[in-house]
Amino acid sequence: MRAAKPHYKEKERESSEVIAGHFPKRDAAQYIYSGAHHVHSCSQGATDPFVVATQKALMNGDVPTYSWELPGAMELEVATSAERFDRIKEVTNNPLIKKYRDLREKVEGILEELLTNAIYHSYFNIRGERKYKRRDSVKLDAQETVKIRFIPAPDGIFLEVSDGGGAIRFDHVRNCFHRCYGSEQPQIEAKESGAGLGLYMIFESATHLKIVCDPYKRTTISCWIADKGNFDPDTFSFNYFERRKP
Amino acid sequence: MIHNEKFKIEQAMKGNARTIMLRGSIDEDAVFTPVLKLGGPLVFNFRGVTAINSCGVRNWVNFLKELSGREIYYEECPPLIVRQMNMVPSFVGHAKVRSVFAGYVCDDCEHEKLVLVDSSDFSGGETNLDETITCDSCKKGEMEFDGHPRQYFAFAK
Repeated sequence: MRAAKPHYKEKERESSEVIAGHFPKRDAAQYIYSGAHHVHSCSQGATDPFVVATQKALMNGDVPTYSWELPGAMELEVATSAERFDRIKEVTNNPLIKKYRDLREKVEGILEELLTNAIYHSYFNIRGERKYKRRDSVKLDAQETVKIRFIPAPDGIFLEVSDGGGAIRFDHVRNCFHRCYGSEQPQIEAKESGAGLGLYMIFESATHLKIVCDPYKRTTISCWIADKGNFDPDTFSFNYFERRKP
Repeated sequence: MIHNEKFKIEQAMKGNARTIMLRGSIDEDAVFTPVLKLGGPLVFNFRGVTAINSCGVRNWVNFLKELSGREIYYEECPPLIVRQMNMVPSFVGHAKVRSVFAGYVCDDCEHEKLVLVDSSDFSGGETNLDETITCDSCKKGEMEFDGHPRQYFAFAK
């Protein structure tokens, strides 16, 4: 583990390295651009339980389940692009989420980005092209799954979206963050889709973000969204895990 | 003026300025280009915007670039637009923000209210907004600002 000292031109980081410190998300994006797969910002630094859990899991070759990934989450399936709006409503109509506009709108925004990413950017045809175009009305094939898991708590909400594509690679994530945090203004104009900006918007709104990619099989993106009383923009974590064949 | 199923643009004259009313969802299907033909200062009213996603943000930022050199004003921006203004500074670009809505919620009866805040109350990112106000529904509870005022008005720094 290294002490946090952000620098744009620092050397490539090891994927097994855990960066811990107390810094803004812009600095975290620099670490991620440098190759760091695990970045934690909190007042406790290296002794933070999430940092310890990450290190322990990496040593064992596991993917940790963090305490914010609450058990007993409700599950919803999304089979068409149009259906996502109903599913988002089902989530935000939960009384604990509905109560506060700030949290409700964050959840709406994050879910929209996660679901459109899962529907439009996860599945490819045999020529390796994206199977579904962003403006198309999509009905997923039977074997193509997109699932939402969520559970609200008094201090926030755990949200998770998984797909059966396993397409999101670390290099994509690091480049998205670099485009959006690497200069004063997010460099979003020339991109053909909004996916890079979407990931940035999720990271900005969430307190914890965990991406697990099982290449060509499954991607699971989990996040914890703190409510307004518990949201601190400089307390957060980012973790990317890629499962490898045994 | 412009319609698709999810998004609509209408215009109205208020004095010498043309106000463009935006309604519905700003996403990958939202088209703004007909506005480019309109002359004079443009006032965009966001009151009727109900959703915006990353593709919509990108569309808007690109559109705004085509209006460089024009006098642009934003008014009645709801919280979901303010969130974009804070996350993506180029969403505001060279526009001047005249007013935004701030959300309040009553801890007693959970009544929600949007209060229109004029730019004179958030210049420089500082605000003299009341963090609590009396609930106008149950009349006994206190309505709290829904969010952090400093973070909410960060776009004005």
